[in-house]
Amino acid sequence: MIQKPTNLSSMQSTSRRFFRSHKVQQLRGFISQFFVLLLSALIGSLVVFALLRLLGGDVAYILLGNEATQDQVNSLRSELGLDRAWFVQYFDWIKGFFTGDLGTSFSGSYEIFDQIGQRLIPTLLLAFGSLFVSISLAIILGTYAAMNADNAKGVVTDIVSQVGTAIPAFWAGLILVVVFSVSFGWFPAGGYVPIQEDFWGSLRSIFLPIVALSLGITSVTTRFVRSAMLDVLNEDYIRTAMAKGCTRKRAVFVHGLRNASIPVVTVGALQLGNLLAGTIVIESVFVIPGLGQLLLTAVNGREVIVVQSIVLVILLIILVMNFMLDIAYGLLDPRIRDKRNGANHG
Amino acid sequence: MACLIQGFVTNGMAPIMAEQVHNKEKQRLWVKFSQLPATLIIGGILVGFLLCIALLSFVWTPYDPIAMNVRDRYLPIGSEGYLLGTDRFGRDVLTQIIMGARNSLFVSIISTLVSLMIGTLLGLYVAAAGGRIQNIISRTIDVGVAIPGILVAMVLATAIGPGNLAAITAIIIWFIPVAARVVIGPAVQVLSQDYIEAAFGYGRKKWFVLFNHVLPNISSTIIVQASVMFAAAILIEAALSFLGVGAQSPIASWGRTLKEAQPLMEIAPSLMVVPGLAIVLAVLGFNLLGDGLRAYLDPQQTRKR
Amino acid sequence: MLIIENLHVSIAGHTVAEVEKLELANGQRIGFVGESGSGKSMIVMSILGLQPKSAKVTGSIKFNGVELIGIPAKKLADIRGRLIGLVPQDPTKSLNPTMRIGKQIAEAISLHSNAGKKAILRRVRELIDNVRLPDPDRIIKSYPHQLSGGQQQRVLIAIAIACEPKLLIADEPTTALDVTVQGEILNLLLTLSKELDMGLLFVSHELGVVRFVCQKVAVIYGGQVAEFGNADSIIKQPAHRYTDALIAANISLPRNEIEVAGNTNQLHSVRGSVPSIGEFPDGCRFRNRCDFAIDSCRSFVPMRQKDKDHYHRCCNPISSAEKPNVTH
Repeated sequence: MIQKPTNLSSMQSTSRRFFRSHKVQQLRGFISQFFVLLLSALIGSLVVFALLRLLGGDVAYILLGNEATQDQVNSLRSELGLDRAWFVQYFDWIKGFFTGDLGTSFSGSYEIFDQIGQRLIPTLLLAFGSLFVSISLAIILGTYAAMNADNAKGVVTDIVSQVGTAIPAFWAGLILVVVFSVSFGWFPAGGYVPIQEDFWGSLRSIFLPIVALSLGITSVTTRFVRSAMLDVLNEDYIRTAMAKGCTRKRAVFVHGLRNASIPVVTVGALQLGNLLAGTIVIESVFVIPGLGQLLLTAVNGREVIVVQSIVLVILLIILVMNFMLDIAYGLLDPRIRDKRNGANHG
Repeated sequence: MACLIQGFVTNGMAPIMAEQVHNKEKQRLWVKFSQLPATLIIGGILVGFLLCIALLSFVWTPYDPIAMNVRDRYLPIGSEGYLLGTDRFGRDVLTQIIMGARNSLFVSIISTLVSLMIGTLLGLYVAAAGGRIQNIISRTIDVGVAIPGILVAMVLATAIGPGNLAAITAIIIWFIPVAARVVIGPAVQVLSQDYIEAAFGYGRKKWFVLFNHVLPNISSTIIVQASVMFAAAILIEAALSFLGVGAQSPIASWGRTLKEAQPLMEIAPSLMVVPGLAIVLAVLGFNLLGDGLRAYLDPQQTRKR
Repeated sequence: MLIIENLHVSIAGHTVAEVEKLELANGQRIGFVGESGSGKSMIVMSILGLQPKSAKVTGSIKFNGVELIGIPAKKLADIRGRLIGLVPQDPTKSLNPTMRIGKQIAEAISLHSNAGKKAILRRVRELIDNVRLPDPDRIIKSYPHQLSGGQQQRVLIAIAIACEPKLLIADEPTTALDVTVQGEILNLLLTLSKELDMGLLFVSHELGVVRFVCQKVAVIYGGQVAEFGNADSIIKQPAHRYTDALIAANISLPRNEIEVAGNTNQLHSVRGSVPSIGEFPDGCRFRNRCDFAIDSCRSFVPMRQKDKDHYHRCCNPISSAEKPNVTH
């Protein structure tokens, strides 16, 4: 029972109790994680910016070709704003994210910020959709493989997942298109229907891409789930559960699953890179107007600002996903929660 | 691997003794061979096959990879003279695959080896550093691992132009944190052993200990990791070529062959199957090899994998 | 209540445990004593069907007339927890680290009854009190890692007795704990067994502990029962050479109760070490480490009776002449 503070000293101790309370500790942990995210994003932007400036040849020269005169090159450079000091360019660029104005592309055909904004949604749909599908499928299949590790069903699952890790996402996409679009006609061969326009049509257009992208990632994650689950099934607390009267199935699902998910979350974080990489490739295969496509054309057009912007956005997406997985990790494992919050053992 | 005992012209028991030794060694080799894990054998065969055809491509290919023969285009698999058919320009698909193998191996071997060297040195340094430096660099490496290689390749391609150079450099940059990270864990563990303390105790310098004590003990981990990295490199090289950022014409690459096959989906779907299968087999081969090596070199780790 | 007959456990073709006949009556407390690798845990786990997957079990284990070997999984799950409870060896690993204690204890109850939440919660508090843990509200909300080893072991005991089983199997319950906590846990087990009229199968490698808790003792070596009888008489008048060696080597037994050929002040150790599975000698398992082995030890040694309720399988047992009866 918390007493109502009636004098100064007990008020002070109440506020001290508040600041050390469990919930506040959790919030502090949360905020510090968030700062790590921002810091990583900042460092990432610096690295990308530096790489492009340091390694790249004179962009204007490349765009104009070998015949260009020095004057033409110089005037193009100042037109594109490439002759300013580097830190000026950097700050302008970062500022552009907040003001909504990243300038126009070198080719002059589009506003960078607007294009990125438009193309963000299809890419996010594809990435998050595949993440969700992959993790769900992996947990189911991995648990199945672990429970059947000593019989034929488990071995088959193991082999299938092993082969699955070797299949490139873009090839899977192509095959899927040939089979399901060209032959059966169940799904569109490409293109993307915006989700605002037609919900079901949108899902149909994104279905095959998500399947293609999820294939490889599900395979890799399934193998990890299987291995984690096998480790868990050997633990003593599973034996305790069965000694209580749990059937093996119940012991696996009620006790095993949550514990096996913990290492899987860490692995999932590592897969995020592959996920976003695959997104870029899949967008190319299925002609989805997302960030990946824009990135490709920008690379070919030596659009330095577009490339660095998109890379930063993708980095941010990865960092956010990482952040979410980190939170999930804390939610799943109470031991980590206490370690992070620096709680005292009661 | 049979031993040939040459140069014996004498008669008598010598040839018979030689034959006996020969057979016994063959027997022993077979016993050893059949005890190897299945994954190692299958992986080894696939990788070996890949290496062979890649090396073969330097001296001979079924057809000239560049020559176009528009008359014979779009021939299906199993056509006379063209084992795997021809593509849109009449080029032999088998030849394209062989050349593609050469390119894939070239890119993946260089990038993996270079990044492993740098990554291992970095990892060893971090493992021995301890304290805040270890903490900070470790965290940075963790973040670096999550960055997709394709992104790095895109950035590089924008800067220095697309092509194999961009691909290789990008893969190296991408792999260094991965290699370092793999090395740090076991290296730290080895460093905490008592005999390391003893080594430092009688005056060995840090890098001497790292190279002569730590490295040999983690070498099996590194070898297994190398195999996995080869696989990843092949995958990403194919993806980059597919996107047009990797190997440029006329260098053949499985990824680009697939890209060229994409618009022909309805006319000649088989053109898409073969390069994809090649990628799958190559990647599978290296993955299995890595698994098999892990099982073979480090049996305690294998438990119930 | 529990009758083990012709139990045979083998792993990869090697015999790990063999029990010809062993009986435990209602409410009786029997101890299994042996060193690590003696097979005592294997015997005990086979009763509950919790032996490792690679172990093959044949024979008969009847619990209140029900045959446990080969019983369908669902029926076994019903018996486990409700009629037979298990207190496992390492408390720090035997609780689910991501589940609150209250929930884990409640599960032990809800698996065997369809009582409502309130009733179950009441019972959980009751159990926490029974195992002498303070502050039930805090314990219920805690996670295992927030409790000490001794506290965790009490929780495991609470889980094991939740449904008031007829038999409690305790597998080295105090081995992983500090000596100061040992005594409390042992007292707890003893009290619970008496209060609930619960049979106790206590596995340990410490004779002194077993003697404190149990009425009867089975000394296990090499997977076989070397000697079986009342705790007191076995320790005072052991027949099997191994039992004698065990007593002499045992620090937890008070010195003035033991006389080993005049050497009462030296720490004894048994020659050699426990062989691994498959490396036991033929005939008497102990003969390679025994100073009193004779020829007949080479062939199979059947159980023989020394007294009423006192059996052993030694060819060259300790005679009453060697060991005068120590009175105290």
